[in-house]
Amino acid sequence: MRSSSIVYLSWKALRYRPLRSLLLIGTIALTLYFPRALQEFINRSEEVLSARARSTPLLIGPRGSSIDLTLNALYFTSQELPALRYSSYEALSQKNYGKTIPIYSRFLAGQSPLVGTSLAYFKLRGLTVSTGRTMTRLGDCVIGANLAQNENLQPGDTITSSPENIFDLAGVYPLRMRITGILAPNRTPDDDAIFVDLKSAWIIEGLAHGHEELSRSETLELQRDSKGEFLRANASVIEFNEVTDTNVGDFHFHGDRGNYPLSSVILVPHNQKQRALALAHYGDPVTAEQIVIPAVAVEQLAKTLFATQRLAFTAFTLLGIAALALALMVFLLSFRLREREMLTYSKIGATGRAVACLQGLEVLVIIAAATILAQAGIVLTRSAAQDIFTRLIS
Amino acid sequence: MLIPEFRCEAGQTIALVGPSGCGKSTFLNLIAGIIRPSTGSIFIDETDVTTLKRSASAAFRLSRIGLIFQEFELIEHLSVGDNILLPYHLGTDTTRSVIEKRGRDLASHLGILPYWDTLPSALSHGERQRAAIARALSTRPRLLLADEPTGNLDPENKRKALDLMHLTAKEHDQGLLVVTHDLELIDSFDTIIHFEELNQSGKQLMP
Repeated sequence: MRSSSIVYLSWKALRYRPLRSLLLIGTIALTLYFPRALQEFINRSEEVLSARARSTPLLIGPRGSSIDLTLNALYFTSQELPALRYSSYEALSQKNYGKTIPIYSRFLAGQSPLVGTSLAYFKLRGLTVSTGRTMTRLGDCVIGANLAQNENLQPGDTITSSPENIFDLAGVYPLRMRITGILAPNRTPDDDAIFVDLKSAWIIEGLAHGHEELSRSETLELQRDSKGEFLRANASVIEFNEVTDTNVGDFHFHGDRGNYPLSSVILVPHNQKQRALALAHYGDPVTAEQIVIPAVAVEQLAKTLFATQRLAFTAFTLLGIAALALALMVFLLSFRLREREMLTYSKIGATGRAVACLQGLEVLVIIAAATILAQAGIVLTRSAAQDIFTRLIS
Repeated sequence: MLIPEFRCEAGQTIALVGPSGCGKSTFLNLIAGIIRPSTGSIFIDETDVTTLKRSASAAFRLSRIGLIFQEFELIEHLSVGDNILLPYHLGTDTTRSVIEKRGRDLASHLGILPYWDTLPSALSHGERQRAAIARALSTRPRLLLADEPTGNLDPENKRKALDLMHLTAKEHDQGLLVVTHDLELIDSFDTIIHFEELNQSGKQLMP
């Protein structure tokens, strides 16, 4: 029997039952896809987690869960962490173990994390401004590439921080921020974040604010309290919800700056010795802060995370075997239903081998199509795994 | 079944008649080499088909024997044209162009050429039967075995189909062995055999 004829007759048979063929292709493709895609996802996620952790040498933060602290600093997750006092950051900087980068990641603007930090953060992560310029003034922000693309934002546009609770009038301050630059994409959570100066983050926190100068306001009444010691503005004093070139001078801070909050501080030690000293200092349980090696914390997290995912992998594999067994049964039943057709081939003069080739090729075409489909899915998953994982963890 | 001797000469047309279940179809299958006799020989030209291995028997059948089945046995996912070309697809020595030309001529003669690209499921029983006849004749076999080939045809097409089989048998020196119940048509055959007379097995058991 000619090879071209085997291909032709098999193709005709497959086309005659398109639904059956497509269902088989789909079932086998999914069976092949899920375990391998999950494996790819696990591997890629492990790489992504480790890479970002490795590029963050040390992390200092309040005592508590080292994993929560790491995830907050690396992925800007919104865990409720106790605050690290600004004075701790100053103390750390004075010790001169290395470069210190403050992180205050508590707020959101829409769904995007708002990160108060310093320009050193961009250098650490290799972030560059692709459009516009970096923030220079209070209330300026630089946004990640994904956010800019998804929300169609450009330098000159504004973005407003979200209040944590709409009824909390005295709480988080909805600040309209001016976008000065868009970061080049680097396929990390930075692409979805909004970066502001620490002071801007503290304005949102409610620790600083700006309002009309009382002495200049003609509409305001100044009241002296009963002892005649304090000036009190009445409720009609206009508080600014945006920093502009004209009102920037009216913004001022209240309270002791040493008590201002931070989430964590990234420490990039000058050398191995300074790293050891920092580890020794903050490793002492009497200190109020903890020091975390992100790579170690991520490894712990990965062990738990991937143990769970491996369970899912096992489940997918078992389901896959069951689905393949079902597909095999469908093939066998199908061939049984077509027994008469095969008998006709034999009666007319097809050899047993030719009939086997016809059936085999049908199976092969279905398996090949399913494999190609599954492989295409795996390639897509591989390319999207980093983004999916980043979104999942954020 | 016990057949002491049976002979069909080249160009001879034989009608095999007998009641249902007497073994006529089995006899055709034995001659075609689809089933093997427990003993004895079946020669087609100089070849004893009972000694051929399965694959050789299949190849021999493909090139030398044309089969028309009672239930048409068309492949449902192949068009009428592809069904007629099936012997080519299964590996007969004749080229595709030759088989296709013969097939189209036969289909035209039998009135099914307009259905060349149509699936058998869209055809009537009679049209399917004619497609099966065209398939069997397209290879110009040395021996044509037909099991009730006209059972589903109207009188006009019945006559046409039988005339065609007779004509090709005479023109190409083919043997034609037809199992039929249709006593109106058996006059046209060279020889009429009552299968019960041919089969000696029942008689041997008689005291």
